[in-house]
Amino acid sequence: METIAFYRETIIKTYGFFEKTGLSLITVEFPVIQTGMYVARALDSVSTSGSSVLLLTVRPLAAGTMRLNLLWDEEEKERGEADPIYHLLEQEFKGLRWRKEKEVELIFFQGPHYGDRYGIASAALGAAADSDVPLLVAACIGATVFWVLPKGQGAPARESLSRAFVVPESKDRN
Amino acid sequence: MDSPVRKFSVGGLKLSAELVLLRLKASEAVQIVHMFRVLTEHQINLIGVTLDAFHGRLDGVCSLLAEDRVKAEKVLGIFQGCLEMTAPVGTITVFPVQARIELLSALFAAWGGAGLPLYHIASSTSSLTITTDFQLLDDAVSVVSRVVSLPENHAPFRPEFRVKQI
Repeated sequence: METIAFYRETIIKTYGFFEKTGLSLITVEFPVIQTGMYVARALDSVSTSGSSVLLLTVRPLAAGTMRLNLLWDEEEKERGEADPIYHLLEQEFKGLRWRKEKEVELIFFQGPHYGDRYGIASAALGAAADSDVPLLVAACIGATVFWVLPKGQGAPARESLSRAFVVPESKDRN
Repeated sequence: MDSPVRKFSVGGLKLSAELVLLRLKASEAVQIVHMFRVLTEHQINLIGVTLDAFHGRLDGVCSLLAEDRVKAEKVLGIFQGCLEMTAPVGTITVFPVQARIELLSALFAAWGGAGLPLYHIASSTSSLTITTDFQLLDDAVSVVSRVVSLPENHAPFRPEFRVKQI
């Protein structure tokens, strides 16, 4: 059985843009054969801080290598205070190419059937390219689009996205 | 006597249709945004996308339905040398994850122990999606089921209908 529905959408609708700031991002590259081990190590290192994982991506690079991005909300430290997670990561990823970025920002949004429709990722990426938004990570997972950005870039990113996606105004219900 | 393995409650598991994984390689001349525009012009939906810019240039992976493979190969032919395909693949999605690091750790430990291929992972606070060989999705369910417990009236793993934009 097939059901067909028609609607016109001159600009893609979204339920709204949501932002988080002050986050931490680690990126590490490792041999594909050790993917499970390094993903577990990255998660275990972050778990020591009692934080929540907001985004995890692992994807292939060339020649048997994988790249992991792990984003979490780390408690803000006082200036000069030691970073125990950084030292843990140094030990876990010794000999690998990796980095930790602090105070990154996350913007995410979703809309109706985003995962089933063509053009969503293209519209989002086009918005970033048009405004020179410096994306660190971009992901489409299910019906949600995620952007990870350097510190201070969340607001400009939201502005660029607003040119490609609209949040409809709610109608008063009597 | 072995202690029972702790299982994490989740809402459900979902398996995808047969997919193709594209690894996209950007260059000075070719940017991912150009590839995505071409795919959109030909009404090809991207099932999951992960892009990152560790070395300053954004590139990454995306998946599309196997039925769109021939069309995608044809329209992306202009970007010669900029993409690689892995097929057939499929995804298993666990939801909700709710940012539970212990659940994620246990899942990947079980997955690694089972030796199943792991082509792509994407996890947010709401769900975790793992891409593996399409023929091994039932094995993936077995592995994941060692770590998670499902509701009694859990819906079928494979969706019984599909939404498609035309």
